[in-house]
Amino acid sequence: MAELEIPSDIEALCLARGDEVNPHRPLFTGDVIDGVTVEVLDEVAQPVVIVSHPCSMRAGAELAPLLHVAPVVTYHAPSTAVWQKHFKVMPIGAVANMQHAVVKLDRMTLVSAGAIDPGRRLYYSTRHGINLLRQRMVHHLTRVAIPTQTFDEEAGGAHEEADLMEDWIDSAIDLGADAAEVGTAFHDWIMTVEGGRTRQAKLLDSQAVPGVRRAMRAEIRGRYSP
Amino acid sequence: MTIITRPAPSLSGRTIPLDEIPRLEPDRTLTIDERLTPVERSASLVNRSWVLRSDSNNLHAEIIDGHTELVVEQLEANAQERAKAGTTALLAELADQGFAWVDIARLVGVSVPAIRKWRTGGAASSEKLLELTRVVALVDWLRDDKLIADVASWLEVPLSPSAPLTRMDLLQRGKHDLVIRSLVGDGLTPAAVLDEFEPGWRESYSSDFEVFTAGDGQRSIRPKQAEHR
Repeated sequence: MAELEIPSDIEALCLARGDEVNPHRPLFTGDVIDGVTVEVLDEVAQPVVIVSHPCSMRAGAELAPLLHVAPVVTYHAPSTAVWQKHFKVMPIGAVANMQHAVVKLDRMTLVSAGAIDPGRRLYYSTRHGINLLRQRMVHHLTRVAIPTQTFDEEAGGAHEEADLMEDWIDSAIDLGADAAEVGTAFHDWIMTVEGGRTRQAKLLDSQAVPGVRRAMRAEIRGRYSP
Repeated sequence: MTIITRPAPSLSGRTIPLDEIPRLEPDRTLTIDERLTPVERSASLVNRSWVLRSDSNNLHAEIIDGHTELVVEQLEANAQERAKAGTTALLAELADQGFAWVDIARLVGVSVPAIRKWRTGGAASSEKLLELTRVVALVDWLRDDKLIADVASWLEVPLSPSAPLTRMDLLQRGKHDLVIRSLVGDGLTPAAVLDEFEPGWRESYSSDFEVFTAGDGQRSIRPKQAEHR
């Protein structure tokens, strides 16, 4: 496998868009946020996608101070030619009023985390969508085509952690917890050493992940249930 | 088997009553095998054993297919019964066993936001509720009948170190019968399951890259070392 991959269905790249977006989900690679002003990109508020590495998004429980982003613009329908020859873009399907949106990989830049308003999130990507975005981004920068399965293996733990964090925050808030504190509570819990390694480290082992999910659900019930 | 009757003794010139004919080997017939040379007989036996083995394999496969169909029917009946618990309770049951929401969504054929709505009391269509109960019935069977202690983990672990495909992938692409057949049969190795699920998987997922732990303790990607290719 040495070529850039083509998804069987572009909808397989989108986890949620529009009113499906869960405001409690932590910001993550592949999220599209509207209204971000980027100094080097015309200084116009525009939608951008976060392209930072999944493991570099946060410093502890907080977002890293600077994030890599790329603008999202309207394009033509993602034909096979677009996937196989237009290496400067990554099609992501419909976003807001754009029927065929793409990530402009040739205009990646840095923004301050403060410039990103999580409340203006338009779209977030599936795990496969993020892997494909990373594949095309690396290819654009280096002309090296790495299979998406390798990206998945490399960052699988970070994907699992983002899903767990969303579930923790959702469940805790549903049970009446303080929204301002649940992110930190999750971070402390996931970094706790258990059986010789942190729960976060266990997420690198696919066989151990369901056990971490079970433990988290029990923890949420014990900690937040009235 | 064809029977060859040995000709009656030849007596020329006179007709004699039948009961006077000397019967050296009364009622004796020769089989084809008896007319064969030892070499031909050996070859014949080998051929016949192949036929028997083939028949036996076909019968075995038919029995496994029949068994699989019966299990599928049983699970369908169990699914109808499990629907009584309701969507929210069934989702909680799966999550408590360690299933990820994204996997449950794919198994049922809906989006993750749809699952999120159901968890908070939103109604599922009767068709989707039935899909959910089918998943729950299958998980019940894997745990209670096949004694798989951690079903979620069993489904999420790759079937081969050479490809990222899991039994969860099989289920998400509607191959419940293949998962069941691999458990009621006695000869379906994980590689054979993958061969049936995605022929050519070895080539499709071969990679010149590997994941390793870099000096900072984080995972990184590098070209495979020559001896690992």
